[in-house]
Amino acid sequence: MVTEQVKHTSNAARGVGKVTVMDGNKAAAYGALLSRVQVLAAYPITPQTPLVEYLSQFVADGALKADFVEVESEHSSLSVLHGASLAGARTFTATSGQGLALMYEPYNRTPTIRLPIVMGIATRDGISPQCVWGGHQDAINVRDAGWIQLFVEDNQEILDTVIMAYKIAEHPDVLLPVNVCYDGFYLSHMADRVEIPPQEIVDEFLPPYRPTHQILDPDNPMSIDPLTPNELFMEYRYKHLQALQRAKQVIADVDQEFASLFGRGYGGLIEKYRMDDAEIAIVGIGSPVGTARVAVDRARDEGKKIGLVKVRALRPFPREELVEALRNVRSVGVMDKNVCFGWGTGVLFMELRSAMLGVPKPPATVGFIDGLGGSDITMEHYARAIAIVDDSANGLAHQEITWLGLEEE
Amino acid sequence: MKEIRLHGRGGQGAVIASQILVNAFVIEGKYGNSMPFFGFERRGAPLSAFVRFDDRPIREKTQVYSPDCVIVVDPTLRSAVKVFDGLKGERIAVLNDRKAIDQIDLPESMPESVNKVGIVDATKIAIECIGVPITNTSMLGAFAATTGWVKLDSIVRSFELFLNPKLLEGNVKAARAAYEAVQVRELVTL
Amino acid sequence: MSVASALEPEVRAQTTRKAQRILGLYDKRCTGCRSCELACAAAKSGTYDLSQSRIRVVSSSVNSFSPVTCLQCARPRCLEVCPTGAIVKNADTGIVSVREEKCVGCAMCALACPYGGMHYSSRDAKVTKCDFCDGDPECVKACATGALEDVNVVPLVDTLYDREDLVSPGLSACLGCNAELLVRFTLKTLGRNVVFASGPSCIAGTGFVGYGPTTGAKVPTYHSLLDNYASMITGTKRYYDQIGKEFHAVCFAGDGGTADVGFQSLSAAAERGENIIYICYDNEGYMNTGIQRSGTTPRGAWTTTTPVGAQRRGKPQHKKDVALIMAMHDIPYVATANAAYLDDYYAKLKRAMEIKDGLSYIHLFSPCPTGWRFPTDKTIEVSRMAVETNFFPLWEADHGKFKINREVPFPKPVEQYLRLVGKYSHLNRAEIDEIQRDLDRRYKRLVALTEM
Repeated sequence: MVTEQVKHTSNAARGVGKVTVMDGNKAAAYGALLSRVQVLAAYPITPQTPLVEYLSQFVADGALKADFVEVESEHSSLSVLHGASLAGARTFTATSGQGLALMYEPYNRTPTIRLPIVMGIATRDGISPQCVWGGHQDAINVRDAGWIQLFVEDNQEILDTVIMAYKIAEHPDVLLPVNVCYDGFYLSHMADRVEIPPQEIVDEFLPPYRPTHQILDPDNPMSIDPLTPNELFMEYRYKHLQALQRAKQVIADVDQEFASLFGRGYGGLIEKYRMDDAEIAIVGIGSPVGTARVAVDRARDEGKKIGLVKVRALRPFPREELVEALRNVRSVGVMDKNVCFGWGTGVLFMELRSAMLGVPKPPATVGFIDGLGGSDITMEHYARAIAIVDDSANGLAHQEITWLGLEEE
Repeated sequence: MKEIRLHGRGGQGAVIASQILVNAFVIEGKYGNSMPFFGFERRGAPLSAFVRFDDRPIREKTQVYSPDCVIVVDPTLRSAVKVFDGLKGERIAVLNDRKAIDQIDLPESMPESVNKVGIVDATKIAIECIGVPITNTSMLGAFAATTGWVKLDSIVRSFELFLNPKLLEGNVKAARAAYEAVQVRELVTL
Repeated sequence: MSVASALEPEVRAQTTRKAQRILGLYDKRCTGCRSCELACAAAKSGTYDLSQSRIRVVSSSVNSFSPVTCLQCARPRCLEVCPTGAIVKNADTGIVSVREEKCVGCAMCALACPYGGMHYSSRDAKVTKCDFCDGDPECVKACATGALEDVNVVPLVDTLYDREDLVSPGLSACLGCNAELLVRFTLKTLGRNVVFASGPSCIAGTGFVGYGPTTGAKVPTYHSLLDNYASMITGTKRYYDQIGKEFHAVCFAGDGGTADVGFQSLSAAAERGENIIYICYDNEGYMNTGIQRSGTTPRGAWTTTTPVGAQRRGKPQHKKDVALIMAMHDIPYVATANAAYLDDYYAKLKRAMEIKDGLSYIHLFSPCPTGWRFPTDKTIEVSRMAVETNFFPLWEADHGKFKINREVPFPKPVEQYLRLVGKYSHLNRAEIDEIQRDLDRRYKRLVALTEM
């Protein structure tokens, strides 16, 4: 289920498209456009706001044949999509931070009524203190609501993942909503080279949505979401969890299929970078993984046998894949752009540790917290992190959790 | 990989200039990305934007701390912000200044970190060509001439993607004028 | 013999939507003077022999009288049981009449009629009944107190008798529940071509959306969230509009989901001009969760969260006038309605179904015996008294044109309404007077709107 990354490699792929420059919000909007979404609803919030403007413009220009519902809140944006998805529409929205917090009620309900909605999260830290900047805390806080959550590294991956997300969400083995989480500002406002896949190849990859599990249709009357007691409720939950587990295979398969058509793949649930002979490793998620690649390259140049594992799917959590990828390393450093309240760590760190339970001779794990509130995860911070992981691998004294950038104080 | 830092004030279009620059590199088959420094965007407030370009995909997602070149869109910023901090490599500064290069004490008035300056009265050019003192496109013309890292034509072609069509003509004129007018001097022979 | 085969061809055709007049019988206004009987006997037999009258005044107790006559049923039991086919229902007028030449005087019809509408004439050995005097009933003219009225109710009869009940039997509503009556009536009127939103509220609590693997509704329905009726159905409506599928998008929400937590999404849908029918059934509080106050709980009312004690005496604030607020959104249609005047509600719902240029809002007054503390058989009485006191006036605003649909020439004091409802039983004279003053002020404002 794990493949090495094959980015921008195969020009033989049929899905080679036009190359242009766009920010992450526009890349997400293009993903929705190319997926031929039919009903959109979104409410502007920093740093997602330009996305709402781009989508509005697409509709105004006639490039996107969809209904854009200019809602009064995020609560309503997702609610509009509920009604539309239940009628059989392909739908899209995106939000961030406080907007996601306001959306919490319909957000929790989206996977539990099995709606294959795709929603971008331009990640943002939670208040307070007042802050509009990056951090993954908003998406992280709702990781257990039952959605599939995919984190991406750059703008190309935003666009591609939105398209793939529909294929995953609408898959009959899955029928669950997908979050495409892209770092607020770092990706949402980063202008980057992006290739726009040709519409006809996207159409071939992603056929129209035809719901078979439920529909609100006067010609086919159905009650959606009646009061559901006891064991029947438990059965629903059980099947939901089973679907999330099945989604692992689907995410990997969809990625492979995408790669074969468009010449770009992302590894499915995780991506391994320079892991073949690695003795230590960095595990990361989201846009900081990009900087980590360069940091790992530099450490390799200095002779360190280091690799990198990028977590794309936070939910479902790629437990077996991570265990397999990190089987041969002595120490792992986990870079969290979030905190796990109550544990004094980051969330990815905690979950990786849980994944390693029962594994014979697991690697040592050290945690790093950085990038909160938009603080910059610099090359120097990565160098420091790698040194600590190295210390841990060599049995030297080290902190379990390091808040990079706060160390000097 | 080369790194560029733009300094401007809110409303002068420095962020758009950074995106135009990325597009110009991409037109030439290179990879590039840019991000603004994330603060509150207010008219007149100092802001910066960061550009990287290379022949290979850009992986870094951080601010630029050690630029190969700084572009200072607003002449008043040099006294307010440490615009020359961290210069490395060719250490180029592209500056907007009313004074001609002969009227500036060089190299004395520049910090040691600067190796090469390009000076242009972008404000005057912008007012003549566009009618408003928005100097971002003029400064891109000056940048192309000073560094030689990108063709003026690639910059001008990129305007379409980011500028209001009604403003295209004036901005193209401004970029070309600045490209011609910029005065370049090497301060130290490397 | 089935009903259908007993109907003659032209009569069967009558079971379509057609206006019909019947006699409205108001027993509270009846003084027992029997002028109607005299007028009828004179008109039909040329004598003052009261046994020839086709209307009767009956007395159930001292000083309590009820006029009784034929109601011109849409599906007449008399017609159904007649062995000779002597009873017919006119396809145009809806009048049920006896063909004397076929009547054998068996009086099966008189036994079958639940309303005492058939009369056996021993003189002719045949049955007689009210024939509406060719459209100009003598009894109505003779009645001095308004106990008899010539009223047009047939669309209702039609709807109630001929349409399928789209709500399954056996909803677990409280005894005397008004909301259940309203939702059944609403769906009968709307028909099958709807998508129906029913979120957390009494109606959903009855199992309307369903319970486990069973469903309470025969139309596509879903359990919206308490606060997203209007936005959720917006999505459904927008998509079907996009693919050219015509249907009615309907929300049936309680007052909490409308006036309080769901108001934001409703107001926004109204402002965006979504073409949906939003119906609020207002039982003036959170009745499903056990009688807590809402924004539409009236001033002075007891609830479990506005209790009556030494320091506080029920809810101190006014009832939020959601219908008027919705009218101020400049949406195409706003109306108030009430189960005691189903003909009025029927007409309003039909009007809402015609609206294509935006949102229609109907505010239903929905007395709750459980939460308001009155006997379970008084629901309609309370509903009617709310109108007769102007506590809940029936009005509509059609594209900005306000109209009071049921003017009350001599409104009763609000005290008569308050005394019917236990949640107001603690109110003293001063408090009642204050409520009356407030009610008068609000009614004046409504009248002023109709004069614009």
